[in-house]
Amino acid sequence: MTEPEHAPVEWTDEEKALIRAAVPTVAGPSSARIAAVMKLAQKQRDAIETTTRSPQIGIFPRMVAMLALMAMLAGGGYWIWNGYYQDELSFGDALDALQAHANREQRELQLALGHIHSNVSDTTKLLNSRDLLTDPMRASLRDALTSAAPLEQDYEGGFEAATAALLDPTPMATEDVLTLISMLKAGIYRVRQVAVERPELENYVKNVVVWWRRAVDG
Amino acid sequence: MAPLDNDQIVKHLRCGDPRGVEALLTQFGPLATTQLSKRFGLEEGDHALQDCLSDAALAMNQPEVADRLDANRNLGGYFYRTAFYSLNRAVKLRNGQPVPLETDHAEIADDANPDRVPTAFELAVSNFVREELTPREQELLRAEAEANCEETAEQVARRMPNGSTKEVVYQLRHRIKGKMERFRADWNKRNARSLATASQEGEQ
Repeated sequence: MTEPEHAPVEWTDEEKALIRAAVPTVAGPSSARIAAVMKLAQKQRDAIETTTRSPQIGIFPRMVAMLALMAMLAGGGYWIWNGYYQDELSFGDALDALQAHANREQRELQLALGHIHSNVSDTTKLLNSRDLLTDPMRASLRDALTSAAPLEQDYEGGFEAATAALLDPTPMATEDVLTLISMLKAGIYRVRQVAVERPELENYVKNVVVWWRRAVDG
Repeated sequence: MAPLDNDQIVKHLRCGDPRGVEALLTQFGPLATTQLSKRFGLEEGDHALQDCLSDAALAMNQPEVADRLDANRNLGGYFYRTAFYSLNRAVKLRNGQPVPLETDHAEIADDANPDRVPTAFELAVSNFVREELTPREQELLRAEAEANCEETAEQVARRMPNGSTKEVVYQLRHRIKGKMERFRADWNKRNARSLATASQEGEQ
């Protein structure tokens, strides 16, 4: 049976709690105030977008910038490549640089040391591979490497021509081989001498000498 | 305007649509105003009370806040808490007390705490009262709430605008109870469905 609409009825405890917690007894913000806050919110967002939006760049300026960047990269590459080959030294230049090490920049010195290091190693290996080194020649190279003090040896030029001849498969005269060995010994002397005069290079030179000994021993 | 659900409000806030701010103030503003005025003992028209709601809505409109809002949580509760901290500062300033300088009202550790944040259901009920009940039914509920639900039907009838009788009060109570029951059933069904959807999404 349906309860008559006017029958006395009370709120349950649960309903009372809900009414206390959920029924607004005062009006919320007025519509004028809400409209004003909405305007403020729009302005707030506009301001944020204006300050954070990335600038709009058209396709043409972008392409120009891209081409300029590519040109710069190409130019940089050429500059590095060109510089690398400009730094290519002759054996004699490298020896001179080591001899006058006091007047040379650190970079030049490192370049010269590296140049002689690789040239002596490569040439010795080449001599070995072509079986041009006799035991006395090997012994003299070992002496140059292991003597207590660096053994003085002059260089009179012609290293590049001599190594070019070494690359030629035609037989090589013993005299030419001896000349080449004297050039190697000049290189060894100069490098070891630098280590004597500049102790900070001692460890580096010790390592280089180890490499050379391995090349000599084959 | 029909009340927006949390998803819609958060979407509006995230894309900077002022309708999000409007929904916060319209849907959560009245209950927040009521609770805050009780909590701080302020008059209805107090400027600080009105300003704190605007502050809260604008704070939630900030992109970094809007992006972090979770539509599945109690959005109205977050609004209330944000407004609470803003009002707490305003009241302190007015009383010449020191105020911490942090800007994120909702996250600072403050010396005052909102004792009780309205639940999502209570906020939904406050919207239901505003949207679904007739003006007379709303007047009755307001009168009941003002008396803290401790008065008899006759007393409530006298408290209602233009006066009324206990029979009318009983009649209105019956109607409200019926509507409230349907609303609660709908709410439970909707929540069960969204819970199921959330768990399905979680499984996927």
